[in-house]
Amino acid sequence: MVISIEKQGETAIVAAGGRLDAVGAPELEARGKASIQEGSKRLLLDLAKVEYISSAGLRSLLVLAKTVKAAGGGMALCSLTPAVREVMTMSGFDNILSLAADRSAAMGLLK
Amino acid sequence: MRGVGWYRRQTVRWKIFIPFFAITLLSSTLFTVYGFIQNNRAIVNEIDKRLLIAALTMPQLLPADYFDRVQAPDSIPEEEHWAHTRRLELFLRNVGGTYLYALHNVSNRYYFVASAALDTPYWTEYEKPAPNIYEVQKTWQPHISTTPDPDYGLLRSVVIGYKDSAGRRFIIGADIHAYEVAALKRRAFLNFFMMGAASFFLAVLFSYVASTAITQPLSRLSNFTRRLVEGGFSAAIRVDPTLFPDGNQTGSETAILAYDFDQMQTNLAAHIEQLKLTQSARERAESELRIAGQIQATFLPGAFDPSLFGGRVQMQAAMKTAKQAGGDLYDYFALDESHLFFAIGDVSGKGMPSAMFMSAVVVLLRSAAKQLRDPAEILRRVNDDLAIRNESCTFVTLFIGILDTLTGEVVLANGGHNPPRRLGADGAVSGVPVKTNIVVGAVDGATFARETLLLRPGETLFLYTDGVTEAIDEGGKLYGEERMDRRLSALPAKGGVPEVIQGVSDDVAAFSGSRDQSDDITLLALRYEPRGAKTS
Repeated sequence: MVISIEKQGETAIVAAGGRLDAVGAPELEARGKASIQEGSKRLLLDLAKVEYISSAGLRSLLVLAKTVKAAGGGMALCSLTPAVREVMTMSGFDNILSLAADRSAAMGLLK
Repeated sequence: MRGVGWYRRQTVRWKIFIPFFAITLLSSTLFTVYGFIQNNRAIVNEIDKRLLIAALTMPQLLPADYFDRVQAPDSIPEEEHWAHTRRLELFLRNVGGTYLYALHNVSNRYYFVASAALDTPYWTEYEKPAPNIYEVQKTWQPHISTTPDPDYGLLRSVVIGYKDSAGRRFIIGADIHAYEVAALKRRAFLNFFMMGAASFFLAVLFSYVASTAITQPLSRLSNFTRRLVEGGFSAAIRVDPTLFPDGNQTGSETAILAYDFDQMQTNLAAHIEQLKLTQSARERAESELRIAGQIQATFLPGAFDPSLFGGRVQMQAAMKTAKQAGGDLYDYFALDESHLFFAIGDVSGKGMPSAMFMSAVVVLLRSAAKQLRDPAEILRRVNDDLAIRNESCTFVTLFIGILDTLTGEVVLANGGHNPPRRLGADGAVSGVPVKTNIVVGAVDGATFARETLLLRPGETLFLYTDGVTEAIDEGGKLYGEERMDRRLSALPAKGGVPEVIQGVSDDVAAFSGSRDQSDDITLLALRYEPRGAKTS
């Protein structure tokens, strides 16, 4: 799991890469939570480089979405690979998480 | 190079001692040889000086007019000659020479006109003069040499010229036997050799003692390490504390080494103790996980009884967890004499937390199924029960259905689970188009679509968890749905559910090879066979 975080005002842009599984998911969850604690109100997750997502990965996304919502903000995902999008659709997560084609579209969802 | 290898193989003591020995031997030899040569020179110089003094002093020991009176064979009375001879011999003994003499040359013949120790009467001819006599005759300069005398042997000899008051020439000589010089040299050599040998043995003794003193603590340390290894690093085996008398406050390398060894042993003993504790803690955790797995297994149904529903249904399930306790689940039981409830699910994550969550899911699912009998409602109830205060956001994917065994109609609902497969009576594989909905337990108030499916006689419904399609081979490739579908298509059409379960299990296992199973794998196959009931 490769994670880099860039801040734009109250939005934290989290670019993740690799496998979002039982090993990678806790890391993403911890880094995302830290950003929220540091004051970020919005999370933009760029998953362009995520090649695989497991149920543990989905759980971490759910935790981050809930946490940022409780802090009065929101979360959006963008640039999903076909494999990740398939899992999102199959699990029904596409209905509860905000998905966008690219970063600017995701920014639009967060406004 | 062989010598170098040999030296490397020696013990530290010999490594120190051998060069010490060689250097000592060399320096003692050089010292002895150099000293001996220097001393020989000094001995010869000393002798030459004495001989020269004797030659120069000789005229003074004779009467002032003695040489003037030496004129002819009878010009000095015999009595006087012998008196002079005795005086000269006394002097010669004191000086340490062998011969002392004065020669007079008359018509190229040499005559002894005065002498000591030669026992020659006055005017005795020197018949075969030594070569140095002619040398003095020629140059009239003092001449010092080792010269072979035909009658008196090899001599160290000093000869000088002398003139009487009339200016007549005489030759005065002082000799010593070469063998006496050699004897002096031999004595000096013996002295030097003794001194050299003594210093050599002292140095060897010292280097032996020193190499022992240096290596003795090392060999004691090496004894300690051997005992330590043989004793399995027991805390009871300690370094002898006399090896580091001042603790760490010393400049002695071996004492520091011994001290460090002692510290290392202390730390090692502590680490081993810690390791044992960790080991037992891990064993306890593993045994707890194993027991959790055993408890979890009791939440799963036993083997399907084929006599239920008059033999119209065959069903079999299999689960292989990645750890001792897992997050997959399946269930089936009869709701009444004609309705069969079945479910398959996958809790997010794995291990102990998933196993605990799975237990709750199974219990909630059973209780909801018995009360509600509508799959969509059942999922809604279970979802709401799980979603309340679900801080960890753990969720479960669930595919549940109720089969009417009289008609083959299945009412089902899907909570974010992989869609199942339908295997036709002819063996053809097809997907089951069901709405996905959302996973169960993630969002409070979620709803699930209620769908129906008609199973024709001989058809099989095959359900699985993503542990199957996401199994990984040694090269990191996913098993995938395509391969699963190919395997299902290749099954014999007349085979029962055990063949379906076994066929897919074996294929996944063969695909994974030696790779560790990363996720729980669960399979469930249900075959509707109303005609089988009639014939049996």
